[in-house]
Amino acid sequence: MRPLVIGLGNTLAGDDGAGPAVAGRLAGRPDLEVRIVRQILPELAADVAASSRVVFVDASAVDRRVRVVALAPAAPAGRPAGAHSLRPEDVLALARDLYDHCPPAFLVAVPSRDFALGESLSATSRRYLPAALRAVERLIAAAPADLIPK
Amino acid sequence: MGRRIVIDPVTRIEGHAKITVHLDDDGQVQEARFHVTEFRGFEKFCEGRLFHEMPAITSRVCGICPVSHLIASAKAGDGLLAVAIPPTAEKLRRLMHLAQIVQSHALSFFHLSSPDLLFGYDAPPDQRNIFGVIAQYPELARRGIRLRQYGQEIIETLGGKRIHPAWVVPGGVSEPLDADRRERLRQGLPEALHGARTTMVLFKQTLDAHAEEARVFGTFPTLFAGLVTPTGGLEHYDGRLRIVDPTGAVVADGLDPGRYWEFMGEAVEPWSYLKFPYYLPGGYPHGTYRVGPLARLNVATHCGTPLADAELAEFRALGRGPVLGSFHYHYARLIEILFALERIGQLLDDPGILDRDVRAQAARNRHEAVGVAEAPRGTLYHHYRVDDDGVITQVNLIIATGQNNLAMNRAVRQVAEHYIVGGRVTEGILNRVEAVIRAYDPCLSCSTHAVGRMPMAIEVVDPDGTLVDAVRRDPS
Repeated sequence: MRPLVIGLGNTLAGDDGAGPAVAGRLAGRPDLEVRIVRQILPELAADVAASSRVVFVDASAVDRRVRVVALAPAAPAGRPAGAHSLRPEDVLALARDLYDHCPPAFLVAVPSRDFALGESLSATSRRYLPAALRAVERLIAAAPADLIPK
Repeated sequence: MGRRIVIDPVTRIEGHAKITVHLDDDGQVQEARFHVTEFRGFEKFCEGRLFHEMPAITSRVCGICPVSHLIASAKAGDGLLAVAIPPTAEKLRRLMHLAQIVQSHALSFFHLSSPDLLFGYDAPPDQRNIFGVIAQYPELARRGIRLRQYGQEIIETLGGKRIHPAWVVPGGVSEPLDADRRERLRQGLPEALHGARTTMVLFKQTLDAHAEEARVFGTFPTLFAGLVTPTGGLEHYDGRLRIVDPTGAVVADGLDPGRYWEFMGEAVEPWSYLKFPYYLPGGYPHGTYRVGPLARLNVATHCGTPLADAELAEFRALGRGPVLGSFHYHYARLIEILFALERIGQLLDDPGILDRDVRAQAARNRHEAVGVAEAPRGTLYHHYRVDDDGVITQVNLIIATGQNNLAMNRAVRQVAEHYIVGGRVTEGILNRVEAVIRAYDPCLSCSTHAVGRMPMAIEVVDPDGTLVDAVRRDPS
């Protein structure tokens, strides 16, 4: 099993492409699986269940600095009505419930401001990409014991 | 005092929309509208780009059916080059397009609509979702995921990546298929076919439980439009357009979809960003027509594959002539999944599929062209005008969901009139209003998603704007 990095977002919607931009820089590494997706759909659960750990990278309209969050499978009460654009926590629950494996999982949120139609990232997003990339690489390289949220 | 019921946003569809139901003083439905509140501006965005870039750009219109835009855009590109693409290129494009049909229909059926079908529209919302399906029908949930994966494996194998592959290009495709990759694709087919067939059996067992919904979910006479093969068979990639009326009579046949303006009008309404296409000879709004799986099965004389043809014969018994109930879009999707898998098998077995001549080369030879394909949700048109250098000067995209816009509005009203009596609003009724929209599987295109966005609320508002009731749900 290898770590899985999932870049979330639409590369035609400005800063929404921040997640794909970070994930794209890791694509091709032999020690990783990288997926770039517009939205989280249920079948991603199969990839998640086949990985040793998973890092979601997504644009954030609310954060002021790169934020790393340890994720847990969604509790039944918090689950969404639909299956379009599931949250990372939802796909973790799907992986556990359907495939009996939910690896340690994290979200790296990249501060972003401008989601208008366009193929380029704003200065804000671009400024935080290196920090987001370092955060992802730390999570991938960390020993399993160090992944336990403190 | 009259009231207005707002469902905003509609859940379990692709994109953002809201529904308003206007009630009169007695609480009876006065008017119902399906609003599309998302404006993407794609057509303007594309101006100034080279037409060779258009498949890659327009395939990003949608994360669910990028291949349909890819195909229609590349076909418009073929027209601008004025080339006939190599036969193998057409087969490979068809293969990818059918894979798209499988994975898109599987998302609609298994992940968006099966909770309603399996648990009923009055089941609690915390059960009536994909997690409820997993808890009670885990094998069905895994089957849905496997079908989507199989469709995506074909797309990824051919195009190099699952989302937004740039392999389909004006003139053909960029790379041929080799024997090893064909063999890998063959291996997944039996499991996919088994999954589709067993799901069809399960679905048909639920039909009796949904007799009322089948009767009132958008059941009304309209025209139906779709591409057909030269022999009138089910077609998704090419062909001529056929239009039938509610009795099944062919009102137009052999229409050239590349000259759509001769038979299609496009109206606009101030309360929606989505256009309202209509059949021109019928006028607006009487020229309402439906597209998509239900329409395709209604216009075709046959599917052309054994399993799908057997199912089509059973499906036709639902109506005298065309099946008019929009609820049966679900049924039609399952038949199309079967058809697509059978055709995928036939294409993979075709010796010519491995031919290495897959791209016609030419410079721009025309200034205007239209590319048309049957997307999962219906007929999709890409119309481009370019300058001498091949730079786009004008784009018109006519999407399938837009063509169902008039029918969706009528369906919302029909459901609201049936289920909202005396102004009483419950979760089950709201879900039925939403569900009739979901039957069309509308693709309004994905909005930007990001942490902290996408709120959701259902509100009942007086005409003066006073909030009299509200229901809030988790984002989906």
